Amino acid sequence: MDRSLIGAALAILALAVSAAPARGALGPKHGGAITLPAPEPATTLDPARAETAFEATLTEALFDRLYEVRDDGTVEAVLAAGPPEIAEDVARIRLRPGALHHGTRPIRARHVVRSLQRTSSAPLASWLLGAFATENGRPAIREVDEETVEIRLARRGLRVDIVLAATPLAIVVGGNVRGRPLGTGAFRGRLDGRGGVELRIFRSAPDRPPWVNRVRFTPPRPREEEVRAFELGRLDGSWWSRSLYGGQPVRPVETATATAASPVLLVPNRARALRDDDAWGGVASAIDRARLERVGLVARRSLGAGLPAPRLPRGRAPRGARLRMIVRDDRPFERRVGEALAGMLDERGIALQVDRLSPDRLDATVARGDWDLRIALVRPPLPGRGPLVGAALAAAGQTDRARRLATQLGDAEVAAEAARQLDVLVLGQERVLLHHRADLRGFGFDGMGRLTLADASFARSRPEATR
Amino acid sequence: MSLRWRIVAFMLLLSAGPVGGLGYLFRERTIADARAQQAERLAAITEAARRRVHERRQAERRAIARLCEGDFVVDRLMLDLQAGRFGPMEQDELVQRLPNLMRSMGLDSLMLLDGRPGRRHYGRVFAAGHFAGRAGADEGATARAVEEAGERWFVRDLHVRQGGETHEMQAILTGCVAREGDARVIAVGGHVLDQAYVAALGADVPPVRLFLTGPDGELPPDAARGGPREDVHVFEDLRGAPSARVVASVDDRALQARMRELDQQLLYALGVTVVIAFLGGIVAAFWLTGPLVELESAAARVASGDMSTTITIHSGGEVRKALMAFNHMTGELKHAQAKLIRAERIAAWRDIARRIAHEIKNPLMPIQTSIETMRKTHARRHPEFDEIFEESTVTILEEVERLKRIVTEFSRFARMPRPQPVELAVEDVARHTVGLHSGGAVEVELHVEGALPRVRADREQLTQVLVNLVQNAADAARARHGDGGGRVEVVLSPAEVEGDEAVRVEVIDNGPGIPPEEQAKIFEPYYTTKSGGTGLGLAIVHRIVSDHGGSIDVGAVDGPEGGAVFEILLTRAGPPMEASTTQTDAALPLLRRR
Repeated sequence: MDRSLIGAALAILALAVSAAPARGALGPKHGGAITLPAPEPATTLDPARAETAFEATLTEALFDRLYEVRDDGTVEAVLAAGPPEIAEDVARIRLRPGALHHGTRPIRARHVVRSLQRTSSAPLASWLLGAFATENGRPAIREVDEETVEIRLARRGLRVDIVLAATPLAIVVGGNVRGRPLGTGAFRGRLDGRGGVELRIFRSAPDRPPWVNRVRFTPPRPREEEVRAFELGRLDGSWWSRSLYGGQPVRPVETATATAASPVLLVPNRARALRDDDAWGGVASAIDRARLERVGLVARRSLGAGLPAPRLPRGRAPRGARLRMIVRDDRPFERRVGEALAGMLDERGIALQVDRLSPDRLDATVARGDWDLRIALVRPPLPGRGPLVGAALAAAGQTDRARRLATQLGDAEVAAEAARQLDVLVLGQERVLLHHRADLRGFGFDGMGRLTLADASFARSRPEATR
Repeated sequence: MSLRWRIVAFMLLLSAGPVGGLGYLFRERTIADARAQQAERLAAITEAARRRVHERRQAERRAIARLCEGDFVVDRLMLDLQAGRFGPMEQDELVQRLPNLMRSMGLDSLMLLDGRPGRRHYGRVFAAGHFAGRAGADEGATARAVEEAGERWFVRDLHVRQGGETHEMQAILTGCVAREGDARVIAVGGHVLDQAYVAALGADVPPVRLFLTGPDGELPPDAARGGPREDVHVFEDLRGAPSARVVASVDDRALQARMRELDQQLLYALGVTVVIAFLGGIVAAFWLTGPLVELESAAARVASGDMSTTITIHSGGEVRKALMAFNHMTGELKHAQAKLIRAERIAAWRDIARRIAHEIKNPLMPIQTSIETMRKTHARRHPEFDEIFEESTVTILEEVERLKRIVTEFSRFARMPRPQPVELAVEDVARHTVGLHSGGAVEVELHVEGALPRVRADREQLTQVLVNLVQNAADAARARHGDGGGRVEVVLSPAEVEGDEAVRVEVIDNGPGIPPEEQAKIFEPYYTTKSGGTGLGLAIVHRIVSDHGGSIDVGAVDGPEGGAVFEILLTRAGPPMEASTTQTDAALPLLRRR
């Protein structure tokens, strides 16, 4: 072997060895894979249709928006090159040069236009487009050139950058939007068809998240199986318990928890048994929010801090009434809330039948009006009261009111009045909780109940690898 | 009832009676055996079910008691309570775990209640395996019931969640209390009292079925089968009052079906027996009574004058003897009748001879007297001989003429031809007859009442009948009234004889009438009340009417004027194909021979 080559190799080795003591100061460790159970079957990766915290987690990992609102309230351009150029009621947004999508090609203005336009067909996201003017029944969004998008606003002075920071308006470049979309986010992802999801790192930089290469959400499994797999080290976390029998776990476990700013609503169908204020008021008064804490709700009467509780009629529980509540069969949380409500109403002589329906059948049943009660999860698209109330209106099926609110997202008074008139019962805020192995760092929930996947990393001295 | 039917009825009784009686006895015996078997099986199954209820309750009681003695789940709960760390997450974990624990214990219901004192705690549901939503609910009454009942079981209404729906059920519960320091947990569990529980007793063996009933033990309407029943177990509520029962009841439908089948078979056998007995009875009756019927028929023929009747004998024994006796009797009767006929003929000959002699003798006397007078006057050369001769010869000629008339009438009566019927209108004949007698001393009138059917009759003979009757009537009327005041009416009217159309002819006079004692003899030959009558006119009338299949009768006219009425009924069919003979026929051969 050539002496010079051997010398170079030794030099590199010496450099590596000398660099080792300084590794802790380098920040989180790159690499590794996290395997977690999906809390519910993943059925869509479409940001415009994300309802649950889990779906929001996935879309957050896969997609970027043109702008983002930081915790301090400042707006930061992400896919946009800078703040929008606004002239009267027209806003022009230039795209950030060099931004690539998961197809490793630059993102273009047409991608943005198509992504925003398609949102109009999403029931829970379309209300946000109320901030934009319409042309021929479609949002007035057009491509100026490959890097410039022009949006005509519904009114002057509207903060279009804030609206565009809404999570449902994340930019989907293309692909199979539900199962294998092309986004621009930190991870690429695809559904495995059995309710699980696999995320692989897309945007890799030495000093920036994401740190782990892969995050796999396995299809949901029964509680006991999930906890057993976690305890046996086959999973890196469990939504249910620290250990199989609630005792001391065999490995160190930490619990990440947060109260997501995502209210859970009980929506009545005022066209059937609950058409009378007396009946609906009686049902609402029969519900003890405190008893819902065990199913993962933090008892709250209002949508959020600073917002008034919806005005509910007074009434007496209609004894002997039979009500039908519909929940999604792929969401254990909804089912558990429904069963808890059934217990409370049963004590007042009201029989609550909880029917578990597939998403499609549930949508059809809601449209048909063949139900009395349903659960609505409110996923706030943006920080602030206005977006929260708007999302609640949309979730309660009052889309027109939500669209009107979209032009006044910053008006606290309007939001408060809309919240007061919301004809729903706020059950509380969803509490999210994940027991995970202790050597996972930076792992937890953000203020909107989403798992911070990009920030997660393994400790440099990993005790045991996931089997 | 005839002998024939009496024989049939006797055969029916003889056969159906024993079959029916034996069948009934067999049926009753079968029912009694089946009931005895049912009772035996009911007792065995009831005993087995009682044993299973007891065993199951003991096993469940032990399982629930173990919860309070050191079960992991309850211990964990107690530790959490003692450490004050039982929060929503711990409760949710308990709620998630309890259904599995409940199922693993084979229970339908399991609740863990807070037994710590104070309104905020006591009776609060930590978790309910049968209804997750009950977590947090107040079950203070149940908690008190458990503490009051001790180890007893008690029945309570329970709401159970199944398939997204709430079902209100009765449950039999028991409980225990676990204590450790300040922590106090009440475990309540049991099973739902429903048909599934009853089925799980495994004693449901046909025809005995187990039913869950209310406290009164009344079976559901569709389960009431009418068979015997027995209480397996009585479940009591907390106060010790019956709340529900498990009842073993025999499903009687199989036995009832068997009885119906048996009844059908019995009826079928009875029916077949009756049919066979009936047919056999008919055959026997005909066999036995056939000769009697033949005897009866032959006797009737004999009674109607057929003395040649004999019976062909096919039978034997007593019947044969009886028939032979009958044949012998008819032979004797025939012989006696022949002798009688001969005697009657002789008597008739004598009578006729007497009458003819009498009739002939009457004219002979004047003839003899006239001749003797002529001889005497001639011998004496009587000056008035010529006058006497003239008078005597006139008398002789008159008497000879009378003799000739007698002979002619008699000859006509004897030679009466058979009628030659044609279809005619009686009205025409009557009108013709009345026409012949009009203009005389007696007024003759014809009255026709209603539409008359045409009848088949011999026109000449019918005319002779009417002429005779009208002449007789006219004679009678003139005899009473002289040449003024005599009246004869001929009245024709429609009539009906034995369902056949007929014509009634009435000849009514206002003469002296006919005394009742003479009315019976009036149609006999040579009976007459008239000085110059031959006594054959009405006999001829009677014979002609009889030959025409009609009838003639005589009576008196009611009323002060009196008189006689002759009534003739002529049927539309007219004379039979062979005109019947009259009673005078027997005398005709004698007369013809003369």
